[in-house]
Amino acid sequence: MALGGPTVRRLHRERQARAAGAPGLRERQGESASAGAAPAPYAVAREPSTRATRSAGSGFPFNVASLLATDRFGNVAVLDDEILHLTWREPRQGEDWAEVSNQRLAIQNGGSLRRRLEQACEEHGEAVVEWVRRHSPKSSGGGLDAGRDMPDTAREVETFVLDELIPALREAASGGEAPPRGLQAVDPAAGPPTGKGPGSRTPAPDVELDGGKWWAYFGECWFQLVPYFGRRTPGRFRLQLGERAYVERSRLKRSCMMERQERRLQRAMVEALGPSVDRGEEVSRLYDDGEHAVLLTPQGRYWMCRRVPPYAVEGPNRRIYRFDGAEVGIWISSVDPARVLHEASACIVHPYAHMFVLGGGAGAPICMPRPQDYYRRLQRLPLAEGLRRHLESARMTLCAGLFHNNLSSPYMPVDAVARGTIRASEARQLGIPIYRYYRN
Amino acid sequence: MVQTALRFGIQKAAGTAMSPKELAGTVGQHIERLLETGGDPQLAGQIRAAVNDPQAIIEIRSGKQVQTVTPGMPLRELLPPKTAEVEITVSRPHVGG
Repeated sequence: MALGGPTVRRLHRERQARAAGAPGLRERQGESASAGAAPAPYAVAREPSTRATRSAGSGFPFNVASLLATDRFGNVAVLDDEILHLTWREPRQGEDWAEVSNQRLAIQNGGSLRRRLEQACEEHGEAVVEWVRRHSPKSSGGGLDAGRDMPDTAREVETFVLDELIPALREAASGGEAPPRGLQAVDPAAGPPTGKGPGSRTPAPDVELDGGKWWAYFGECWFQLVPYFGRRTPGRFRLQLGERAYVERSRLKRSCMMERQERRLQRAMVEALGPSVDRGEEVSRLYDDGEHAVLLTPQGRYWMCRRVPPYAVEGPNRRIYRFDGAEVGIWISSVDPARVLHEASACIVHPYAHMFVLGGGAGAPICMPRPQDYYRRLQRLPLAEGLRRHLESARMTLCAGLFHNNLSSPYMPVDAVARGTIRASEARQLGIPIYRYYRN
Repeated sequence: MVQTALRFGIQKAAGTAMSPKELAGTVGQHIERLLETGGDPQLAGQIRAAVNDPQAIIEIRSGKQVQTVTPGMPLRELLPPKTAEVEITVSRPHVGG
């Protein structure tokens, strides 16, 4: 019975071959995991191709300029994800126009920025994955394979993963659990998101380029905009689009902002794809429903994982600190819950700085102080259920483990590991939950 | 109708369809309403204990939006307009460090 993508089906064939006395694929020499799978043709871009200049210096396959088509149009505004190209000519009758600082300019609709990013990821999938592989930061705490002896019960673990765990996860997912915001669920039938194999695709990260919801590149400057209907202020950039009006809130040099947005985009790609592409080692995603995943490492270790969407944490100083999404996992070293579910079993799967993760490297354990009764009860559950519960506890520890009256101490202060601060209103607009420090 | 669901961690505790009018009141009142529709009494007890614990976490997911709330917050004001589903997850405090 086929349970999932090409890797899962291969594992089933191996098991059947072993049962019949033939050597498995892993036992044959010099054969890669994806042998025989031809690279898939990518979807033809329905809009002007994003095969524009690569990001200067970094070699990233596409850049912000190509997403915005500024190489073609020069000036552009992005308002609530909608790209508007501001041309230099007078609008013709019936044509949409915008008033920019007392000048009427014809505009062309450039579509959704989010959609442009998705198309770029589809078009350049393999190149993006390769770039992420080369640019993922080195793990300092050991990878998903390092420092872990292979168990004697490897075959029992494999049977458990394929015959119990993945079906249980699939059933739970079909019971109405929606994927977390911002993550694209990988179709298990499509195989791992490495850009190889038919039907696979590189997911576009949920990234908001620096600058907020309204901004524009015009001339030599970048302007952050804010909706405004008051009197015109001389010297300030102003954009009027029908009944909507926006005025300059701040400005930066175009090149500076473009560089910031490039870095933000590349960082988002590394964080989105890093868990599955780690310094040249290909980790296979046997299952991924957007919330839970099952990974198979190059050395044959199985990890069950849980995605943590982006979140914000209130610090003791009442500032709100922003954290990127993460993936937590547990190595399935045995089919005995007592050997799998213990104090150091929940780990961060990729490099990730957090106050409860020592070292921050891939495979570093999350510090989760729990009473012994917690683990006794967890170990009495069926292993699949125990894994799900402990990973949920790991997720909540990362998000909500820092609070007043918590007697434990974090490894690092929150402001040393967060990705900056965010206003509560901004977090609400972005749909990022805030986990409060002060809860009384 | 709005599909509402209540979880305690990963465990489903209750779920039913409600009219938008029935979403009036606070988050705590809505949780109690859901618990009264039936389900595991032991789980219901754990949820009630967590709701009364200020260190516990209550998350509301509606569509793509997730936010943390307290029992006293008015539920309808927290939800986006024309919401079709609401899932409330109650979690015990999870200590980190």
